[in-house]
Amino acid sequence: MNFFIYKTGLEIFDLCRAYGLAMLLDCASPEEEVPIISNVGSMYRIEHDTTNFSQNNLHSNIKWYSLFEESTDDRTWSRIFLTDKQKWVKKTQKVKDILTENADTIIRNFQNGGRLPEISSDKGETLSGPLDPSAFKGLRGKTGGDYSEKQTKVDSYNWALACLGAAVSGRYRAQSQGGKWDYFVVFPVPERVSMDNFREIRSSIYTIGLKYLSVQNAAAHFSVVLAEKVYTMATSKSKFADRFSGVFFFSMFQSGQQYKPSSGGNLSLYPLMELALSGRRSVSRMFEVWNYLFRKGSVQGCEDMAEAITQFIMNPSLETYEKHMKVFLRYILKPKEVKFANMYDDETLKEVIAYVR
Amino acid sequence: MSDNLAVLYSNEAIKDFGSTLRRALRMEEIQDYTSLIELENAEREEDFADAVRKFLRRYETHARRLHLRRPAEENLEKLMKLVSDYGVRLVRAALISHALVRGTRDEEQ
Repeated sequence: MNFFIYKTGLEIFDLCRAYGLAMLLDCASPEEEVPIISNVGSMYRIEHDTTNFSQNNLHSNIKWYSLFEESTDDRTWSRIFLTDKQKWVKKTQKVKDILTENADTIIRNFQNGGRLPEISSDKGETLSGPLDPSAFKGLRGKTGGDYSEKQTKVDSYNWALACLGAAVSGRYRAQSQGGKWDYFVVFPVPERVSMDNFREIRSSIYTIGLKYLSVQNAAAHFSVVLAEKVYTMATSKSKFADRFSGVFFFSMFQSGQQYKPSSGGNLSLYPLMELALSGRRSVSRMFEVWNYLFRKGSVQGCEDMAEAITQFIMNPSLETYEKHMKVFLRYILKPKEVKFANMYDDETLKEVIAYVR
Repeated sequence: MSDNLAVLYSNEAIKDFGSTLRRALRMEEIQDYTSLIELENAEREEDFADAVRKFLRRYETHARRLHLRRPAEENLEKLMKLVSDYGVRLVRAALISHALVRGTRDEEQ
């Protein structure tokens, strides 16, 4: 059976709804079936082999209830509702109640066509800024001069799905900077990913993190770690065909008592996925070296290393390749700075060159 | 871009000069950083030819003393032909890429 999430233009909100619906379908169906999310242009499609969905399955499902518990590793729920401060517990409970009590209706609504969410500035639940940074801004009306700085609100079903999806797929990394907190947020965008593989990816890579220079640095490192995991799964599983098309990222910074959005963007993972799914041993070595460069670059005094590899991953042009080469070579030439094992070998460097566009 | 760079990286003349550059940079007795900077800063064909000429002259002194292998004469001609065909930037990137890869343990020490 197919379920569709039509895209509204609020990119992260749409993505989170897709993850949220996939997770709801997964928990409301018999255990042996697993949903698959695909990005198909103007919508996300969720395929599920069963038709046997019931919200009664949720009541007896421990996995379902554990989704709403705050994990000490990543504290995602409190970060999704960061701008709600202490109310995040109530909001999380509300998401759980809406989805648990209306699962059958929600599942029916999204079958074979689905429908667009209702977005307005006066009806529904407030879309939280840390979930989608577009929500920090107001909404344009039907005419050019019609603009409202009120909060962005969406209908409760789509809101609850998006909140669950953000908790499942978002990585919120907090970093203290001069006594204030910065948040670097990344979301992997599936091209075609099954939820059981996604859970495995999440459990093994979401806790990996460094001290980052910028959200671009965090997104580039996340992409490399993700591609490395995809490589490992592709080489160890016989029927692995999952891939991600990109990474959405944005940052938030503390301004007084408030949080405000900073820079953000969308990084295409197409070239990295091509390399990861090739299964070549030299690609794995390349990811190891890149990981080393990110780790080294997170050390104070080696920021140029992080900057160069970030620029190269984000935009693999001849110019950024030369910059990366120049900086890395300077470190290699310092006595005892870079171990033999952390350098490119001939075959690995050919893979790096193949990444240059 | 990537295809041309890959072709140049695998070219025999560039491999020959690239491994020589790696030795010149990594061997403790040589550490010829001046040549690296001159090569990196070469923009025009003449500047590049000049940087290669100076590099070979400096390397020759050490090669005699340490009995090192020198790049083949015909590879110098091939290298300059590649510069005319592909431009300084691509050839330089391919050449310096060889300095980035692991050399022998002797070069690293």
